Amino acid sequence: MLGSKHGGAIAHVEASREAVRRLANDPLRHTVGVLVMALMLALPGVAWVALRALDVMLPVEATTPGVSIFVGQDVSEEDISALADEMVDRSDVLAVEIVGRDQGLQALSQLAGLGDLVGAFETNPLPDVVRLAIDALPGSEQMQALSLSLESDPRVEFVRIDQGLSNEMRNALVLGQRLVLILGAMVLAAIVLVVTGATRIEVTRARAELALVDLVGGTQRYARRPFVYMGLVQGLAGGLLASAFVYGGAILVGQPLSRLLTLYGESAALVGATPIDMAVPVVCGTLLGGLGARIAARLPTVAWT
Amino acid sequence: MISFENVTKRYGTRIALDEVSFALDAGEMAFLVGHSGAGKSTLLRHLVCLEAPSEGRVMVGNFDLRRLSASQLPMFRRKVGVVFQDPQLLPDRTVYENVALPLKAAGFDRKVIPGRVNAALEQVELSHVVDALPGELSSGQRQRVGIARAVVHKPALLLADEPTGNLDPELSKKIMKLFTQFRNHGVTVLIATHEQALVEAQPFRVLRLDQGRLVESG
Repeated sequence: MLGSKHGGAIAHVEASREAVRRLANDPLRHTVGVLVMALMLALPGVAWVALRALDVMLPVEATTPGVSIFVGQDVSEEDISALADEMVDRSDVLAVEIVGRDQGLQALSQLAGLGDLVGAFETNPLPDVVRLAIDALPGSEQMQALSLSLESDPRVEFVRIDQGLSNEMRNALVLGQRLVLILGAMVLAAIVLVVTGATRIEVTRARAELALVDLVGGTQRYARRPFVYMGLVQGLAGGLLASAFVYGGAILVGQPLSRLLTLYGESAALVGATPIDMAVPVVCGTLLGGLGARIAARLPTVAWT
Repeated sequence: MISFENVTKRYGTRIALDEVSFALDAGEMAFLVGHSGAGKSTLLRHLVCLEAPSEGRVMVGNFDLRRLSASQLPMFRRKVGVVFQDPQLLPDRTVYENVALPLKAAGFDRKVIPGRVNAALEQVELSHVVDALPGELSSGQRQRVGIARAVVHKPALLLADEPTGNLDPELSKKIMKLFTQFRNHGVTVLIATHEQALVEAQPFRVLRLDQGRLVESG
Protein backbone atom coordinates (compact mmCIF):
# COMPACT_ATOMS: atom_id res chain seq x y z
CA MET A 1 0.00 0.00 0.00
CA LEU A 2 2.87 2.30 0.70
CA GLY A 3 3.63 4.40 -2.32
CA SER A 4 6.70 6.20 -3.38
CA LYS A 5 8.55 6.56 -0.05
CA HIS A 6 8.08 10.35 -0.12
CA GLY A 7 10.45 10.65 -3.04
CA GLY A 8 8.04 10.36 -5.95
CA ALA A 9 7.08 13.19 -8.24
CA ILE A 10 3.57 13.38 -6.74
CA ALA A 11 4.96 13.98 -3.27
CA HIS A 12 7.09 16.83 -4.62
CA VAL A 13 4.15 18.32 -6.49
CA GLU A 14 2.07 18.17 -3.31
CA ALA A 15 4.86 19.78 -1.32
CA SER A 16 5.10 22.54 -3.93
CA ARG A 17 1.36 23.12 -3.75
CA GLU A 18 1.59 23.21 0.00
CA ALA A 19 4.42 25.76 -0.23
CA VAL A 20 2.37 27.98 -2.54
CA ARG A 21 -0.64 27.64 -0.23
CA ARG A 22 1.43 28.80 2.72
CA LEU A 23 2.84 31.70 0.71
CA ALA A 24 -0.66 32.70 -0.35
CA ASN A 25 -1.82 32.72 3.27
CA ASP A 26 0.29 35.80 3.97
CA PRO A 27 0.99 37.43 0.58
CA LEU A 28 2.02 40.86 1.88
CA ARG A 29 4.72 39.53 4.22
CA HIS A 30 6.13 37.17 1.63
CA THR A 31 6.06 39.81 -1.12
CA VAL A 32 8.00 42.20 1.10
CA GLY A 33 10.47 39.40 1.80
CA VAL A 34 10.94 38.75 -1.91
CA LEU A 35 11.46 42.47 -2.60
CA VAL A 36 14.06 42.77 0.15
CA MET A 37 15.86 39.74 -1.23
CA ALA A 38 15.74 41.14 -4.77
CA LEU A 39 17.19 44.49 -3.71
CA MET A 40 19.94 42.79 -1.72
CA LEU A 41 20.88 40.57 -4.63
CA ALA A 42 20.73 43.40 -7.17
CA LEU A 43 23.02 45.77 -5.28
CA PRO A 44 26.31 43.88 -5.77
CA GLY A 45 25.12 42.77 -9.22
CA VAL A 46 24.69 46.32 -10.51
CA ALA A 47 27.95 47.45 -8.88
CA TRP A 48 29.82 44.56 -10.49
CA VAL A 49 28.41 45.30 -13.93
CA ALA A 50 29.30 49.00 -13.57
CA LEU A 51 32.88 48.23 -12.52
CA ARG A 52 33.31 45.83 -15.38
CA ALA A 53 31.91 48.42 -17.79
CA LEU A 54 34.43 50.92 -16.46
CA ASP A 55 37.23 48.40 -16.88
CA VAL A 56 36.20 47.59 -20.45
CA MET A 57 35.58 51.17 -21.54
CA LEU A 58 38.66 52.78 -20.09
CA PRO A 59 41.47 53.47 -22.60
CA VAL A 60 44.14 50.79 -22.56
CA GLU A 61 46.80 53.30 -21.47
CA ALA A 62 44.77 54.12 -18.37
CA THR A 63 45.06 50.63 -16.98
CA THR A 64 48.20 49.29 -18.69
CA PRO A 65 51.68 50.33 -17.59
CA GLY A 66 53.74 51.88 -20.36
CA VAL A 67 57.18 53.10 -21.28
CA SER A 68 57.94 56.20 -23.34
CA ILE A 69 61.26 56.01 -25.19
CA PHE A 70 62.45 59.47 -26.12
CA VAL A 71 64.67 59.10 -29.15
CA GLY A 72 67.65 61.34 -29.85
CA GLN A 73 67.13 64.29 -32.20
CA ASP A 74 69.62 63.00 -34.74
CA VAL A 75 68.23 59.48 -35.00
CA SER A 76 66.80 58.69 -38.44
CA GLU A 77 63.26 57.47 -39.13
CA GLU A 78 64.69 54.10 -40.24
CA ASP A 79 66.44 53.70 -36.90
CA ILE A 80 63.28 54.64 -35.05
CA SER A 81 61.32 52.04 -37.05
CA ALA A 82 64.05 49.48 -36.34
CA LEU A 83 63.84 50.29 -32.65
CA ALA A 84 60.06 49.90 -32.74
CA ASP A 85 60.41 46.56 -34.53
CA GLU A 86 62.84 45.35 -31.87
CA MET A 87 60.30 46.28 -29.22
CA VAL A 88 57.48 44.44 -31.01
CA ASP A 89 59.53 41.26 -30.84
CA ARG A 90 59.81 41.44 -27.06
CA SER A 91 57.47 39.09 -25.23
CA ASP A 92 56.77 41.57 -22.42
CA VAL A 93 55.61 44.31 -24.79
CA LEU A 94 51.90 44.35 -25.61
CA ALA A 95 51.82 47.19 -28.13
CA VAL A 96 54.18 49.65 -29.76
CA GLU A 97 53.27 53.08 -31.09
CA ILE A 98 55.56 55.64 -32.72
CA VAL A 99 54.59 59.19 -31.87
CA GLY A 100 56.40 61.44 -34.30
CA ARG A 101 57.72 64.80 -33.09
CA ASP A 102 55.18 66.72 -35.25
CA GLN A 103 52.35 64.62 -33.89
CA GLY A 104 53.64 65.28 -30.36
CA LEU A 105 53.79 69.03 -30.90
CA GLN A 106 50.27 69.05 -32.28
CA ALA A 107 49.00 67.10 -29.28
CA LEU A 108 50.80 69.48 -26.94
CA SER A 109 49.20 72.46 -28.70
CA GLN A 110 45.74 71.02 -28.30
CA LEU A 111 46.36 70.08 -24.69
CA ALA A 112 47.64 73.57 -23.86
CA GLY A 113 44.95 75.27 -25.92
CA LEU A 114 47.57 77.07 -28.01
CA GLY A 115 46.46 76.73 -31.61
CA ASP A 116 49.52 78.47 -33.16
CA LEU A 117 52.17 76.68 -31.11
CA VAL A 118 53.26 74.70 -34.15
CA GLY A 119 54.13 77.89 -36.04
CA ALA A 120 55.92 79.44 -33.06
CA PHE A 121 59.04 77.28 -33.47
CA GLU A 122 61.41 77.30 -36.36
CA THR A 123 62.31 73.72 -35.64
CA ASN A 124 60.27 71.29 -33.57
CA PRO A 125 62.05 70.95 -30.22
CA LEU A 126 60.21 67.73 -29.28
CA PRO A 127 61.84 64.33 -29.80
CA ASP A 128 60.27 61.35 -31.53
CA VAL A 129 58.80 58.95 -29.03
CA VAL A 130 58.24 55.20 -29.12
CA ARG A 131 55.45 54.31 -26.67
CA LEU A 132 55.25 50.79 -25.33
CA ALA A 133 52.37 49.11 -23.55
CA ILE A 134 53.92 46.62 -21.15
CA ASP A 135 52.60 43.23 -20.12
CA ALA A 136 53.84 43.58 -16.56
CA LEU A 137 52.64 44.83 -13.21
CA PRO A 138 53.52 48.49 -12.61
CA GLY A 139 56.58 48.86 -10.45
CA SER A 140 57.74 45.35 -11.09
CA GLU A 141 61.39 44.48 -11.53
CA GLN A 142 60.65 43.60 -15.14
CA MET A 143 59.78 47.24 -15.88
CA GLN A 144 62.97 48.50 -14.24
CA ALA A 145 65.10 45.99 -16.16
CA LEU A 146 63.51 47.04 -19.46
CA SER A 147 64.09 50.70 -18.69
CA LEU A 148 67.78 50.14 -17.87
CA SER A 149 68.40 48.07 -21.00
CA LEU A 150 66.76 50.71 -23.19
CA GLU A 151 68.76 53.55 -21.70
CA SER A 152 71.97 51.85 -22.72
CA ASP A 153 70.84 51.97 -26.38
CA PRO A 154 72.67 54.82 -28.25
CA ARG A 155 69.50 55.75 -30.16
CA VAL A 156 67.68 56.49 -26.91
CA GLU A 157 67.87 59.89 -25.20
CA PHE A 158 65.97 58.87 -22.10
CA VAL A 159 63.26 56.53 -20.93
CA ARG A 160 60.20 57.34 -18.85
CA ILE A 161 58.07 54.71 -17.12
CA ASP A 162 54.40 55.75 -17.40
CA GLN A 163 52.62 54.02 -14.57
CA GLY A 164 51.15 56.78 -12.39
CA LEU A 165 47.68 56.75 -13.93
CA SER A 166 47.65 53.03 -14.60
CA ASN A 167 48.66 52.37 -11.01
CA GLU A 168 45.83 54.48 -9.65
CA MET A 169 43.23 53.16 -12.06
CA ARG A 170 44.22 49.55 -11.58
CA ASN A 171 44.26 49.87 -7.81
CA ALA A 172 40.93 51.68 -7.83
CA LEU A 173 39.36 48.97 -9.97
CA VAL A 174 40.79 46.16 -7.85
CA LEU A 175 39.61 47.94 -4.70
CA GLY A 176 36.17 48.41 -6.21
CA GLN A 177 35.92 44.77 -7.24
CA ARG A 178 37.02 43.59 -3.80
CA LEU A 179 34.47 45.83 -2.12
CA VAL A 180 31.78 44.40 -4.36
CA LEU A 181 32.88 40.87 -3.50
CA ILE A 182 32.78 41.65 0.23
CA LEU A 183 29.38 43.28 -0.21
CA GLY A 184 28.24 40.24 -2.17
CA ALA A 185 29.38 37.83 0.55
CA MET A 186 27.60 39.89 3.20
CA VAL A 187 24.46 40.02 1.09
CA LEU A 188 24.49 36.26 0.58
CA ALA A 189 24.77 35.70 4.33
CA ALA A 190 22.03 38.25 4.97
CA ILE A 191 19.70 36.50 2.51
CA VAL A 192 20.18 33.18 4.26
CA LEU A 193 19.33 34.89 7.56
CA VAL A 194 16.27 36.64 6.10
CA VAL A 195 14.90 33.40 4.65
CA THR A 196 15.74 31.47 7.80
CA GLY A 197 13.83 34.00 9.90
CA ALA A 198 10.83 34.05 7.57
CA THR A 199 10.68 30.26 7.36
CA ARG A 200 11.04 29.93 11.11
CA ILE A 201 7.93 32.06 11.55
CA GLU A 202 6.06 29.73 9.20
CA VAL A 203 7.35 26.67 11.03
CA THR A 204 6.26 28.13 14.36
CA ARG A 205 2.83 28.86 12.92
CA ALA A 206 2.58 25.26 11.69
CA ARG A 207 3.84 23.82 14.96
CA ALA A 208 0.66 21.87 15.70
CA GLU A 209 0.58 20.42 12.21
CA LEU A 210 4.24 19.44 12.31
CA ALA A 211 3.75 17.79 15.68
CA LEU A 212 0.90 15.76 14.21
CA VAL A 213 2.91 14.79 11.15
CA ASP A 214 5.70 13.65 13.43
CA LEU A 215 3.33 11.65 15.61
CA VAL A 216 1.59 9.86 12.73
CA GLY A 217 4.89 8.68 11.27
CA GLY A 218 5.78 11.38 8.79
CA THR A 219 9.50 11.64 8.20
CA GLN A 220 11.35 14.87 8.87
CA ARG A 221 12.03 15.12 5.17
CA TYR A 222 8.29 14.97 4.47
CA ALA A 223 7.58 17.61 7.10
CA ARG A 224 10.37 19.93 5.97
CA ARG A 225 9.79 19.69 2.26
CA PRO A 226 6.99 22.31 1.89
CA PHE A 227 9.06 24.81 3.89
CA VAL A 228 12.18 24.19 1.84
CA TYR A 229 10.10 24.65 -1.32
CA MET A 230 8.75 27.88 0.14
CA GLY A 231 12.32 29.13 0.52
CA LEU A 232 13.17 27.99 -3.00
CA VAL A 233 10.12 29.74 -4.47
CA GLN A 234 10.87 32.93 -2.55
CA GLY A 235 14.53 32.77 -3.55
CA LEU A 236 13.62 32.16 -7.19
CA ALA A 237 11.17 35.08 -7.19
CA GLY A 238 13.70 37.35 -5.49
CA GLY A 239 16.41 36.23 -7.91
CA LEU A 240 14.25 36.88 -10.99
CA LEU A 241 13.36 40.32 -9.72
CA ALA A 242 17.01 41.02 -8.89
CA SER A 243 17.94 39.93 -12.39
CA ALA A 244 15.54 42.54 -13.79
CA PHE A 245 17.04 45.15 -11.45
CA VAL A 246 20.55 44.28 -12.64
CA TYR A 247 19.45 44.60 -16.26
CA GLY A 248 17.81 47.96 -15.62
CA GLY A 249 20.65 49.12 -13.39
CA ALA A 250 23.24 48.24 -16.03
CA ILE A 251 21.43 50.38 -18.56
CA LEU A 252 21.07 53.28 -16.12
CA VAL A 253 24.74 53.15 -15.09
CA GLY A 254 26.08 52.26 -18.54
CA GLN A 255 24.60 55.27 -20.38
CA PRO A 256 26.19 58.06 -18.31
CA LEU A 257 29.43 56.07 -18.07
CA SER A 258 29.51 55.80 -21.82
CA ARG A 259 28.86 59.56 -22.22
CA LEU A 260 31.58 60.34 -19.67
CA LEU A 261 34.17 58.33 -21.54
CA THR A 262 33.13 59.88 -24.83
CA LEU A 263 34.30 63.20 -23.37
CA TYR A 264 37.80 61.73 -23.13
CA GLY A 265 37.73 60.76 -26.77
CA GLU A 266 36.83 57.10 -26.31
CA SER A 267 34.21 55.33 -28.38
CA ALA A 268 30.72 55.39 -26.90
CA ALA A 269 30.18 51.62 -26.77
CA LEU A 270 27.43 50.76 -24.30
CA VAL A 271 28.24 47.96 -21.88
CA GLY A 272 25.20 46.19 -20.38
CA ALA A 273 24.43 43.09 -18.32
CA THR A 274 25.43 39.75 -19.84
CA PRO A 275 23.30 36.58 -19.57
CA ILE A 276 25.62 35.41 -16.78
CA ASP A 277 25.06 38.68 -14.88
CA MET A 278 21.33 37.98 -15.15
CA ALA A 279 21.60 34.30 -14.21
CA VAL A 280 23.78 34.70 -11.13
CA PRO A 281 21.10 36.44 -8.97
CA VAL A 282 18.52 33.81 -9.98
CA VAL A 283 20.79 30.89 -9.12
CA CYS A 284 22.08 32.50 -5.91
CA GLY A 285 18.60 33.56 -4.81
CA THR A 286 17.12 30.11 -5.37
CA LEU A 287 19.96 28.22 -3.68
CA LEU A 288 20.19 30.62 -0.74
CA GLY A 289 16.41 30.58 -0.31
CA GLY A 290 16.47 26.80 -0.17
CA LEU A 291 19.43 26.78 2.22
CA GLY A 292 17.86 29.31 4.59
CA ALA A 293 14.60 27.40 4.63
CA ARG A 294 16.41 24.11 5.16
CA ILE A 295 18.17 25.53 8.20
CA ALA A 296 14.93 26.88 9.63
CA ALA A 297 12.69 23.91 8.92
CA ARG A 298 13.70 21.73 11.82
CA LEU A 299 10.85 19.93 13.46
CA PRO A 300 9.74 21.38 16.76
CA THR A 301 9.44 19.20 19.80
CA VAL A 302 6.12 17.44 19.84
CA ALA A 303 3.86 18.45 22.69
CA TRP A 304 1.38 15.93 23.99
CA THR A 305 -1.77 17.67 25.02
CA MET B 1 1.72 -6.48 21.99
CA ILE B 2 2.77 -4.05 24.73
CA SER B 3 5.24 -4.87 27.45
CA PHE B 4 6.48 -2.54 30.19
CA GLU B 5 9.34 -4.08 32.15
CA ASN B 6 10.26 -2.27 35.37
CA VAL B 7 9.93 1.10 33.72
CA THR B 8 10.94 4.09 35.81
CA LYS B 9 10.80 7.65 34.54
CA ARG B 10 12.43 10.48 36.45
CA TYR B 11 12.35 14.20 35.76
CA GLY B 12 15.18 15.42 37.95
CA THR B 13 14.27 14.21 41.42
CA ARG B 14 10.56 13.75 40.60
CA ILE B 15 9.52 10.19 39.77
CA ALA B 16 6.72 10.10 37.16
CA LEU B 17 6.69 6.32 36.68
CA ASP B 18 8.00 3.99 39.33
CA GLU B 19 8.99 0.48 38.26
CA VAL B 20 5.88 -0.04 36.16
CA SER B 21 5.49 -3.53 34.70
CA PHE B 22 2.56 -4.90 32.72
CA ALA B 23 1.78 -6.55 29.40
CA LEU B 24 -1.12 -6.24 26.95
CA ASP B 25 -1.81 -8.94 24.37
CA ALA B 26 -2.55 -8.17 20.75
CA GLY B 27 -6.24 -7.35 20.34
CA GLU B 28 -6.67 -6.65 24.04
CA MET B 29 -8.40 -3.52 25.30
CA ALA B 30 -7.56 -1.90 28.64
CA PHE B 31 -8.17 1.28 30.59
CA LEU B 32 -5.39 3.23 32.20
CA VAL B 33 -6.88 5.05 35.17
CA GLY B 34 -5.65 7.30 37.93
CA HIS B 35 -5.89 10.81 39.24
CA SER B 36 -4.52 13.76 37.38
CA GLY B 37 -0.72 13.60 37.63
CA ALA B 38 -0.70 9.85 38.34
CA GLY B 39 1.49 9.24 35.25
CA LYS B 40 -1.10 8.17 32.64
CA SER B 41 0.03 10.57 29.91
CA THR B 42 3.69 9.90 30.70
CA LEU B 43 3.07 6.19 30.21
CA LEU B 44 1.31 6.80 26.89
CA ARG B 45 4.12 9.11 25.76
CA HIS B 46 6.54 6.21 26.23
CA LEU B 47 4.47 4.14 23.83
CA VAL B 48 5.02 6.57 20.94
CA CYS B 49 8.63 7.34 21.82
CA LEU B 50 7.96 10.87 23.00
CA GLU B 51 9.67 9.83 26.21
CA ALA B 52 12.41 7.34 26.94
CA PRO B 53 12.45 5.42 30.22
CA SER B 54 15.12 6.31 32.77
CA GLU B 55 15.24 2.61 33.62
CA GLY B 56 13.52 -0.51 32.32
CA ARG B 57 12.33 -1.51 28.88
CA VAL B 58 9.26 -0.82 26.73
CA MET B 59 8.39 -3.24 23.94
CA VAL B 60 5.64 -2.72 21.34
CA GLY B 61 5.29 -5.71 19.05
CA ASN B 62 8.84 -6.57 18.06
CA PHE B 63 10.10 -3.03 18.61
CA ASP B 64 12.32 -2.39 21.61
CA LEU B 65 11.62 1.32 21.85
CA ARG B 66 14.98 2.11 23.46
CA ARG B 67 16.78 0.76 20.43
CA LEU B 68 14.76 2.46 17.72
CA SER B 69 16.93 4.44 15.32
CA ALA B 70 15.85 7.80 13.93
CA SER B 71 14.95 6.18 10.63
CA GLN B 72 12.93 3.40 12.32
CA LEU B 73 10.89 5.80 14.43
CA PRO B 74 8.49 6.98 11.67
CA MET B 75 7.96 3.37 10.59
CA PHE B 76 7.09 2.41 14.15
CA ARG B 77 4.71 5.34 14.64
CA ARG B 78 2.79 4.33 11.53
CA LYS B 79 1.70 1.25 13.46
CA VAL B 80 0.21 3.35 16.25
CA GLY B 81 -2.89 5.56 16.29
CA VAL B 82 -3.34 8.29 18.89
CA VAL B 83 -6.56 9.98 20.03
CA PHE B 84 -6.32 13.13 22.14
CA GLN B 85 -8.79 14.74 24.53
CA ASP B 86 -8.73 17.74 22.20
CA PRO B 87 -8.65 16.11 18.76
CA GLN B 88 -6.14 18.70 17.50
CA LEU B 89 -7.62 18.97 14.03
CA LEU B 90 -6.03 21.42 11.63
CA PRO B 91 -8.55 24.26 11.50
CA ASP B 92 -7.82 25.33 7.92
CA ARG B 93 -8.17 21.82 6.47
CA THR B 94 -11.35 19.97 5.67
CA VAL B 95 -12.39 16.82 7.48
CA TYR B 96 -11.14 14.81 4.52
CA GLU B 97 -7.73 16.50 4.57
CA ASN B 98 -7.41 16.04 8.32
CA VAL B 99 -8.16 12.34 8.12
CA ALA B 100 -5.91 11.87 5.08
CA LEU B 101 -2.92 13.43 6.86
CA PRO B 102 -1.43 10.18 8.33
CA LEU B 103 -1.74 8.43 4.97
CA LYS B 104 0.00 11.23 3.09
CA ALA B 105 2.66 11.53 5.77
CA ALA B 106 3.29 7.79 5.57
CA GLY B 107 3.69 7.94 1.81
CA PHE B 108 0.62 5.88 0.90
CA ASP B 109 -0.24 5.49 -2.75
CA ARG B 110 -2.38 8.53 -3.66
CA LYS B 111 -4.96 6.29 -5.35
CA VAL B 112 -5.59 4.40 -2.11
CA ILE B 113 -6.10 7.44 0.07
CA PRO B 114 -9.71 8.46 -0.86
CA GLY B 115 -11.02 4.95 -0.24
CA ARG B 116 -9.25 4.68 3.10
CA VAL B 117 -10.44 8.10 4.26
CA ASN B 118 -14.04 7.47 3.26
CA ALA B 119 -14.01 4.09 4.99
CA ALA B 120 -12.67 5.62 8.21
CA LEU B 121 -15.26 8.38 8.11
CA GLU B 122 -18.00 5.79 7.55
CA GLN B 123 -16.83 3.91 10.63
CA VAL B 124 -17.34 7.01 12.75
CA GLU B 125 -20.56 7.90 10.86
CA LEU B 126 -19.27 11.19 9.48
CA SER B 127 -19.36 10.59 5.73
CA HIS B 128 -21.72 13.53 5.32
CA VAL B 129 -19.25 16.14 6.66
CA VAL B 130 -16.28 15.21 4.51
CA ASP B 131 -15.84 18.73 3.10
CA ALA B 132 -16.60 20.60 6.32
CA LEU B 133 -13.99 22.53 8.26
CA PRO B 134 -13.46 21.53 11.92
CA GLY B 135 -14.95 24.82 13.08
CA GLU B 136 -18.27 23.82 11.52
CA LEU B 137 -18.53 20.61 13.55
CA SER B 138 -19.83 19.86 17.06
CA SER B 139 -17.34 18.74 19.72
CA GLY B 140 -18.55 15.13 19.39
CA GLN B 141 -18.09 15.22 15.64
CA ARG B 142 -14.63 16.70 15.99
CA GLN B 143 -13.66 13.92 18.39
CA ARG B 144 -14.91 11.31 15.94
CA VAL B 145 -12.88 12.94 13.14
CA GLY B 146 -9.88 12.64 15.48
CA ILE B 147 -10.64 8.95 15.92
CA ALA B 148 -11.02 8.46 12.16
CA ARG B 149 -7.60 10.10 11.72
CA ALA B 150 -6.13 7.78 14.35
CA VAL B 151 -7.40 4.59 12.66
CA VAL B 152 -7.30 5.51 8.96
CA HIS B 153 -3.88 3.89 8.49
CA LYS B 154 -5.11 0.71 10.27
CA PRO B 155 -2.76 0.79 13.25
CA ALA B 156 -2.04 -2.28 15.33
CA LEU B 157 -2.13 -0.22 18.52
CA LEU B 158 -4.60 2.54 19.38
CA LEU B 159 -3.82 4.88 22.27
CA ALA B 160 -6.35 7.36 23.62
CA ASP B 161 -5.62 10.06 26.18
CA GLU B 162 -8.86 11.18 27.88
CA PRO B 163 -10.84 10.75 24.63
CA THR B 164 -14.19 11.51 26.26
CA GLY B 165 -13.00 14.31 28.54
CA ASN B 166 -14.89 17.02 26.65
CA LEU B 167 -18.00 14.99 25.81
CA ASP B 168 -21.37 14.42 27.42
CA PRO B 169 -22.20 10.88 28.73
CA GLU B 170 -24.22 9.93 25.68
CA LEU B 171 -21.43 10.85 23.27
CA SER B 172 -18.89 9.20 25.55
CA LYS B 173 -20.79 5.91 25.22
CA LYS B 174 -20.73 6.23 21.43
CA ILE B 175 -17.01 6.83 21.45
CA MET B 176 -16.43 3.83 23.72
CA LYS B 177 -18.50 1.73 21.36
CA LEU B 178 -16.20 2.74 18.53
CA PHE B 179 -13.12 1.71 20.51
CA THR B 180 -14.74 -1.62 21.21
CA GLN B 181 -15.36 -2.11 17.50
CA PHE B 182 -11.71 -1.48 16.74
CA ARG B 183 -10.72 -3.94 19.42
CA ASN B 184 -13.06 -6.49 17.83
CA HIS B 185 -11.15 -6.01 14.59
CA GLY B 186 -7.92 -7.02 16.34
CA VAL B 187 -6.56 -3.60 17.30
CA THR B 188 -4.90 -3.36 20.72
CA VAL B 189 -6.53 -0.45 22.55
CA LEU B 190 -5.24 1.41 25.61
CA ILE B 191 -7.41 4.26 26.92
CA ALA B 192 -6.25 6.67 29.61
CA THR B 193 -9.14 8.17 31.52
CA HIS B 194 -10.10 9.42 34.94
CA GLU B 195 -13.83 8.77 34.40
CA GLN B 196 -14.52 5.93 36.79
CA ALA B 197 -18.14 5.48 35.66
CA LEU B 198 -17.08 4.94 32.09
CA VAL B 199 -14.56 2.31 33.09
CA GLU B 200 -16.98 0.45 35.33
CA ALA B 201 -19.49 0.20 32.48
CA GLN B 202 -16.99 -1.71 30.34
CA PRO B 203 -15.84 -5.31 30.78
CA PHE B 204 -12.19 -4.59 30.06
CA ARG B 205 -9.01 -4.76 32.04
CA VAL B 206 -8.02 -1.83 34.25
CA LEU B 207 -4.47 -0.59 34.89
CA ARG B 208 -4.50 1.80 37.82
CA LEU B 209 -1.68 4.27 38.40
CA ASP B 210 -1.14 6.12 41.67
CA GLN B 211 1.75 8.57 41.92
CA GLY B 212 3.59 6.76 39.17
CA ARG B 213 3.16 3.27 40.63
CA LEU B 214 0.97 0.62 39.03
CA VAL B 215 -1.34 -0.40 41.88
CA GLU B 216 -3.83 -2.49 39.91
CA SER B 217 -3.38 -4.42 36.69
CA GLY B 218 -6.22 -6.91 36.81
